Amino acid sequence: MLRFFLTRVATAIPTLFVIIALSFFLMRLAPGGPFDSARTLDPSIAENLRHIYKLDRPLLEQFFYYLRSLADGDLGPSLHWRDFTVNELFATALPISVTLGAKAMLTAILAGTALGLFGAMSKGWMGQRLIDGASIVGIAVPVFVVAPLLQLGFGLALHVLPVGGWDDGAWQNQVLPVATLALPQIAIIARLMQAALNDTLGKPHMRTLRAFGMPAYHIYIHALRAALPPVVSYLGLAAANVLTGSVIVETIFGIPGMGRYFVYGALGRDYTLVMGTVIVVAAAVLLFNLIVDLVLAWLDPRVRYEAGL
Amino acid sequence: MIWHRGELGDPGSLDPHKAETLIESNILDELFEGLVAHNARGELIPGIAASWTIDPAGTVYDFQLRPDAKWSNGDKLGADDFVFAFRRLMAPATGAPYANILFTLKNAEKINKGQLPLDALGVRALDEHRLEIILEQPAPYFIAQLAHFTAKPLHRKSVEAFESDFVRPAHMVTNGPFMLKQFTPNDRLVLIKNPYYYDAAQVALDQEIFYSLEDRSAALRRFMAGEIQSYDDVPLEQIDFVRAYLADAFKVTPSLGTYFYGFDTRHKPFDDRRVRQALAMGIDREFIADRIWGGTMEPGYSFVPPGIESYGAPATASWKEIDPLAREDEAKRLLAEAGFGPGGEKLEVEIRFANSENHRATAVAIADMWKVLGVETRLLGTDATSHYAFLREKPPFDVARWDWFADYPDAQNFLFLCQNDNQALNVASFGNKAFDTLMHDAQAESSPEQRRLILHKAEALLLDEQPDLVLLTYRTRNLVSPKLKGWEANVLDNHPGRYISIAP
Amino acid sequence: MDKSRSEAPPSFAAVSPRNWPLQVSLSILAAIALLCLLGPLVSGHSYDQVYRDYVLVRPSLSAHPDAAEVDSAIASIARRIRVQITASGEGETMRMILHAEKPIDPRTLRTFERSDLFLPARIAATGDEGRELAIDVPLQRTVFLFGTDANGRDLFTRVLIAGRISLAVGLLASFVALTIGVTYGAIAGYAGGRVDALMMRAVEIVYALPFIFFVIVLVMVFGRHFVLIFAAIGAVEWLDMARIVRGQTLSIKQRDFVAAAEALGATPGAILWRHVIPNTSGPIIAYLTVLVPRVILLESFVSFLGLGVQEPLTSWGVLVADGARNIQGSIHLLIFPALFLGVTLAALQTLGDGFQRARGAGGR
Repeated sequence: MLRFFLTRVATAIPTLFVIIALSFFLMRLAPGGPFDSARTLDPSIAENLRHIYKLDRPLLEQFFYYLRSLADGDLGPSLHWRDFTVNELFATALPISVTLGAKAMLTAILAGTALGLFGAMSKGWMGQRLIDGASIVGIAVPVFVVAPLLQLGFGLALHVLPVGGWDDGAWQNQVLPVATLALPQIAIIARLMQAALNDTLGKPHMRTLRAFGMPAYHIYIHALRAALPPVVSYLGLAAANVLTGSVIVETIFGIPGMGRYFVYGALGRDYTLVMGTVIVVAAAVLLFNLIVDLVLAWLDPRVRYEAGL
Repeated sequence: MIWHRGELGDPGSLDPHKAETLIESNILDELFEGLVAHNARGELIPGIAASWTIDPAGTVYDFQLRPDAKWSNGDKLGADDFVFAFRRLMAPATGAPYANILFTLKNAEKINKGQLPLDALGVRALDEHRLEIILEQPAPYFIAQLAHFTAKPLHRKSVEAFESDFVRPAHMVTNGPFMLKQFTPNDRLVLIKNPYYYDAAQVALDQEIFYSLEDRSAALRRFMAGEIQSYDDVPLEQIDFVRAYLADAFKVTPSLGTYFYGFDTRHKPFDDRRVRQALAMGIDREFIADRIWGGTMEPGYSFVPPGIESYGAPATASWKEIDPLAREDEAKRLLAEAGFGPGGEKLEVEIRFANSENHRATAVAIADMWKVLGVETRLLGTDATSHYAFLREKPPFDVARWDWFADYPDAQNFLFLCQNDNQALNVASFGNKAFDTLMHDAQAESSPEQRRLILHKAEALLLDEQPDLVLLTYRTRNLVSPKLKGWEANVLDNHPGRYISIAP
Repeated sequence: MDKSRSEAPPSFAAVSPRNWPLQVSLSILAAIALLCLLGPLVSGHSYDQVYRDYVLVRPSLSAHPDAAEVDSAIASIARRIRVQITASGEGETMRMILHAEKPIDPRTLRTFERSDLFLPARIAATGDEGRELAIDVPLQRTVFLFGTDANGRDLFTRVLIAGRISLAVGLLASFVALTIGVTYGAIAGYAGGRVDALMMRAVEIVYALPFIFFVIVLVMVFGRHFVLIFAAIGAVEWLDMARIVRGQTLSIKQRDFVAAAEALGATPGAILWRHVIPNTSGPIIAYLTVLVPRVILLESFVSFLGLGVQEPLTSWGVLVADGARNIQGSIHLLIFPALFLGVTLAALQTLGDGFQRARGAGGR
């Protein structure tokens, strides 16, 4: 296990480097730059600004300059939120997104597994249909429909929760955003879990266990463990997805998280900010995939040999 | 007493020399006060400058500053704070995006381009409370320009000590009715009352909190829940709803902005005046203003919006009063004359716009109207930044949507958009000698009445040539809680917190 | 020795009458597809036809115009051509008397023809040297089943046209993602070791790239062909599929039947195709039913940024996004596209279940 872990950490560095390099050059291909706004700037002023931010140097030079500041842990100044460095923006936003995302994922895992189990366990087809139907609704209704409906319902109609804002993390302000983020994930996890469970439960060795008189809950725990791999594989991606997918939630509920930086950084061509978000996402993706692989190996011992553990 | 104020986004910067948008302007007006300011009705009033005189040539301004003006840390505010600020504005190292607004100052442009040292700028402190400003040429709108955020003073000691960090709440020193307490991007910006402001006794608010709300519909819901007391926009899809249920909060005010469709006059067929006129005539602006924009825009027939005092009623397109059907016939006739229509070529037009607000719906409506003229229209909407980059680079195009809002209330601030030497903003690439001559004459003219007449002639020429199709004149939409007192509608959409109070 | 035999590959002949999920979902999908293909041709409206007089009209089975609409249309026409109009008559033709200070130019009567509420007017009588005109104006009956949008376009036709785009994008992009993803994931999982590690790192790299920039650049390079939406979406969505398949493959290839097949000398390709992939089909199909809605919604996000379908074409995602902004105003703009989208997605999910059944999986 240790060797596996260390190899992965070692390969993470070149992977990150490739990601950074590709993104850096990919961004410059898009039309427009950070100083393009509704009011076109005087050409000499625009030229001067490019010079101040070193955007008039050759691309390769800019890239190495960026790498050097990265090595110092400095993600550079934001070109859109000009009073802040990218580090500062992330220092406040990342914890918030992580908090919301983690709560949403936790809710999704617990609720999704429970629902998937319920669906697979229920005799007759009522339970299955219910889970199927509910999961369809959860996946099909987009975030930008769910969020306003929740705002209208719980905020304006019932007056039990605030319509928006972060209010320094008051729990009332977290309920609706977490629910909105969690809903589609609950649906997906329930579906995946149910399908995988059904698959496993139908396998010959399961019938054997039942024939041997094993109590039901034992069987289900067995089945659960065998059914986890596809769900666990998905979780690694879901976590990174929740982070990016939170753009709409953060915009509608007014949460100062990372989601907006992903989209509005790109739309506004804030190069340093986008590079910062790329690095965060890349680190998250690498980290989660590593965790997923470790969990997969733990769940299914046969995998360990091949994964080089 | 706290004013919870919804804004359309975050300020890009609280440094007046790095600011660009209306959002920044609103916030900076609360933090800083320049030589002149606006009152609740948007009228120009003396600010830090108690009075001023202008020499007969119109190029030397002598400002007498208030002796009781102070900074928020108790320091006295003097003329040298203005000198410092203006020099920093023009310094190339600052990279001020709107330094060009004050190129009216002597040597400003050369300094900004690095050709002259900073102290060559035509601004100097005659003594502690007297400021002298020398202009390149006489500019009747100069006093109005001084209300712009680029003309705010800066606290020299903090800027020199902390450099670009002077905008942090811990370091920021301001001279306006408020000071900065906290700024969390994407969340809120908190201002508290500045006790050293010379008029602090009249300021009712203790705090002003700006909320960054880009999604108009979500902002409407928060307004309805009472979480914010004002918002600078109304989602267009909900206009009928807002009119029905929030009638006393819904404010629509004429504004100094024009919505254009610019033609690329550099190539055929848009170099032909007849084609441009025909396309302009064939549009039902009332429909677009009423149905597409929910009555929150004014049909536009003039290049300069109405409401500029020094200009009066603007010129209007010659065909404004003609019956729409007759206009249509005339348009078809013009197109035929230019070689398009039945028996001629088919005119194909591509409209480019940014995919925000109602630009898409407007383009769809116009494409339908041009169909009647026999014109086939393609629509190309892109994300906003790509569109702005497009407007800047100006590869060949047919029609591109753009708009312009006044920096200061003067007709020149609109008409100069079509001057041939205006590289950045002349979207249509219009080059007309007669027009340029008129604009130069107006600049040199000292009599306000004469100048007004010359500018009117220039506008009439533009409307005849239609390099930019005027579609609509902007109106601002605002949601204002009835509890907010002191909020008055005005063309500049200026609502200083200094005059605001909240009823219980 | 049952244990060493793998499951049989999916048998599509097993569409028995008892496999009702498969039948019902196939019928629904076929119905929707047919509706979207043929509906716009017979709906009586073109998808880009603008009715200026019918902006944001509510859905209704009865034909427009109603009495209120006629009255206000007549009032605004009277203002436009500067005459006074007294109207009377029930039924399909209105009789109107026009009064004006100056003789009325018959050409101004074109205004009636231009209006969406009326057909061309016929002059019945003239009087008072042309200052008075009596005309017969037939009403033009139009039905807007789902109402109209903010530009005055028939929503029913637009929802169907949008369906064509969404279905095409959804199915095609998902198919692309499926093919690439399954192949890539199966190969990576089966090969294991270094090859697997390299392939998964590549997945991570592509995953971490900023999607929006990727799409913006694609638009720039390939122009405005909307086929590139499929390219962009397919290029992003196959990654998830690959990871899931790879995870499954890692488990499966340890099984006895795989070892047996290898011992018998089967080629890796054959093993993958006959043993590995069929056994991953459960999670694949499950994820597919998640993939298609995601693709459709992703397409709406791309279109929203101005990088997908251009006006006057539209998609369900775009319509739903527009509708979501109108919840407190014209909610019909949300309900109908959302309904179509939801039913389609539900049918796709049930189709997945039907396939599972046909495969004989999920025995209890």
